[in-house]
Amino acid sequence: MSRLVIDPVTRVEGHLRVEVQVDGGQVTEAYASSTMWRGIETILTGRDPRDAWLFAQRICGVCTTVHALASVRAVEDAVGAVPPRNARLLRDIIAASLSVHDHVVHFYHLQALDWVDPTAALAADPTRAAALAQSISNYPRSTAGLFAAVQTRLRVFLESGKIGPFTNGYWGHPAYRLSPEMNLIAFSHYLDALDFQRDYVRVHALLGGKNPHPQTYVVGGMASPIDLNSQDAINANTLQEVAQILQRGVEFVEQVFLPDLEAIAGAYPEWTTYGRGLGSYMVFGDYSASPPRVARPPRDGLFPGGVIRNGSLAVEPFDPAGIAESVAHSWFRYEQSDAALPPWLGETQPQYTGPEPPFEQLDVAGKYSWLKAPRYQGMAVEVGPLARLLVGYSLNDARIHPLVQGALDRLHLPPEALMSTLGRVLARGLETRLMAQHSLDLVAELRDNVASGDLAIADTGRWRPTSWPDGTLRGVGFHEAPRGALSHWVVIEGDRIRNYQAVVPTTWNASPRDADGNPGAYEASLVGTPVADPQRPLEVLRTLHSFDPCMACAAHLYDADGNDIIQVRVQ
Amino acid sequence: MTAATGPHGTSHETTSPAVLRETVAAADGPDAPVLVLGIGNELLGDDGVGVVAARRLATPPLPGVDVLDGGTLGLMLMPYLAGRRAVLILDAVATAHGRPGDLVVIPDGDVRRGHGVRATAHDIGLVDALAATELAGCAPRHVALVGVVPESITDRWGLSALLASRVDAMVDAARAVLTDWEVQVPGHA
Repeated sequence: MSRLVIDPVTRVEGHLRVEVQVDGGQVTEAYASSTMWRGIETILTGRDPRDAWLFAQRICGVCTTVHALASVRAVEDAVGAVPPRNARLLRDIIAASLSVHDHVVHFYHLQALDWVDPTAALAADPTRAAALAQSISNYPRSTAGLFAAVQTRLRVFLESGKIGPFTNGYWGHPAYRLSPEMNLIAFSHYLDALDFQRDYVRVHALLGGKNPHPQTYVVGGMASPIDLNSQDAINANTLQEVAQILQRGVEFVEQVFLPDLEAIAGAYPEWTTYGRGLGSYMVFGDYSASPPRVARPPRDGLFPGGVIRNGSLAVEPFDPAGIAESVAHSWFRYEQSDAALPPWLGETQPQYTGPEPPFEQLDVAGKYSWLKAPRYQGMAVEVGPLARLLVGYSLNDARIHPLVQGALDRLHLPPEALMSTLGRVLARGLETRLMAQHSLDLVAELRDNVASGDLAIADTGRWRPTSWPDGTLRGVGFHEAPRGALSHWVVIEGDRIRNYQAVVPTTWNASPRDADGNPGAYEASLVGTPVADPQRPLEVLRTLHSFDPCMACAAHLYDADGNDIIQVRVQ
Repeated sequence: MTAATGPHGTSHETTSPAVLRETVAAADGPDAPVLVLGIGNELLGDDGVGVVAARRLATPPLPGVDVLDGGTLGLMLMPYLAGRRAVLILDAVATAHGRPGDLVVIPDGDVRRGHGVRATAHDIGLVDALAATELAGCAPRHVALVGVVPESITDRWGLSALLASRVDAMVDAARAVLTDWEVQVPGHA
């Protein structure tokens, strides 16, 4: 029996460490740890709640906008500000288009490389690749000449030795099974995804300012004026340009992303039997046309809320009071007792008991992660695209059910097959299709609403603290972020933040064990994964990457050669 | 190992939250030929020094130069790098480059190979993003990095006193690189 240590596991780097016990060629036990102190909430204590989102958007390196959104929602909930319809639409367009962008980048730049071997594409016959590409999609860039040119470019790049994004791949691993032609097609689409990304990110610039970090949020709405006929506002031209870009997004997802994904799924059918994990899922629900509800996620959104227990495909309503965080195996301590705390009562007191880094192994019998263990009514749950689609599918949602059923039919899979590593990957792609269209629909809705004469973009009636209700104020902001259910919880006293807690998707999924010893989603999903070559644990990465791990905030120092890691002392 | 002061270390509010409300970029429009990219996380003390320096460099705005707060977006920064004539990165660098506060200018080839590009996890993503622009045929012709060695990277808003005192030097070094690239920098030879 040997223990495999993978640290870090994401290709965008990050600070997730996973220790995996391998016995007889498969994983028998897994432990997920964040090895970097995450106490950013303490920075917010004592600040003006109206500034919270400016700090909160820095919590995660990759998902800036989602934290800004959850944060303004939390403060609005606390002080009773209601953002007008234009502001809600604008926020949803920004969030949905960010999701599409994020999912496409994650797939082509990070996750596809677990299934696609670009080095194998060198052996492909471009003419056969063109025939194959044309058989699975009507995407126009599928000619033999184009694939031959891409192959030449790939050869030059690989021979240059500066292979950047491909540096850490397990190329030639026997677990890669696509044909050389499919590898070439997928690589060609990797290049096209770079162009897609350049185009699509302009949505963000048009609506949120040029800076990659949003500047346009404000408690009560948005700071960007909207007027179809004004040069100094988001106007008819802006919205038309945004709609054109979003339309190209729909086409890219339909003609490129989904066909690639289904081709990969068809080639690796056994991956619908690995990586199931908890089988319990939680969705807050989001992207709703309805006004916000006090202390609850919005109703009737694109993603319905709900909870699934133990793979039942029966959905129960989500209740915010069910959330509490355990620190039994986390490097934190609570003042009163070890009992799990709901976020408004949450505490962020570090108590590092782990070994001095660098170390060989974590002490998993004790505390072993800088992530808390959030639980829903005491139960570990998975969050993210798979959770959202399973809940929508089970509720027979008018948009989600046919989308999922279509993919299942084409792949000859039962619904239960979605509860797997491959199902998680597929769900992310299908959700991208849903979001790409939804963002376009929202632009039309926004244009119509503004054309009808409604120019309101912010509720300023609750801007001044003197307008806020007396006493202690509590607010929560829910958002279905790309990686799953995100919530920010704020307690305000005397116009200042007294407590702030962010319960983020990766904390749900990558959580350590709780007081009852129940594993988190990553830990549970790895058990049973086959490992052909412990020196090159590609299979473990496939399951981990299926969650789209996002461990930002890692102060991880590299030396002058870019590979030797210097750990920053955490406490 | 750097001298971390722990999560409750002394705070120096070199950048007030009000600054965060201002957009540091030039007016919206087509991309300028030159990009200055501040990298780092301001919630992690000295990790944010590149972003602070970028903000200072952008005031007043430089013609033909976009100055962006790249945060720790890593690979997601690729669209902002693509098609530029030149990209200058401002960042915290590894302690191997000297003592806290030491300033380094890292030339093109070393940046693209990842030499010296350090700090938050996401900066390896930045090297990948540069490689991706090469693969896509839209790589910037010139790349350089102006870095400073951090004193403490820990949960704190604002720079250490030492690093706060080095921001002007960083901005001067950045202006010198831009002048080499034949950017008109007001008040700079």
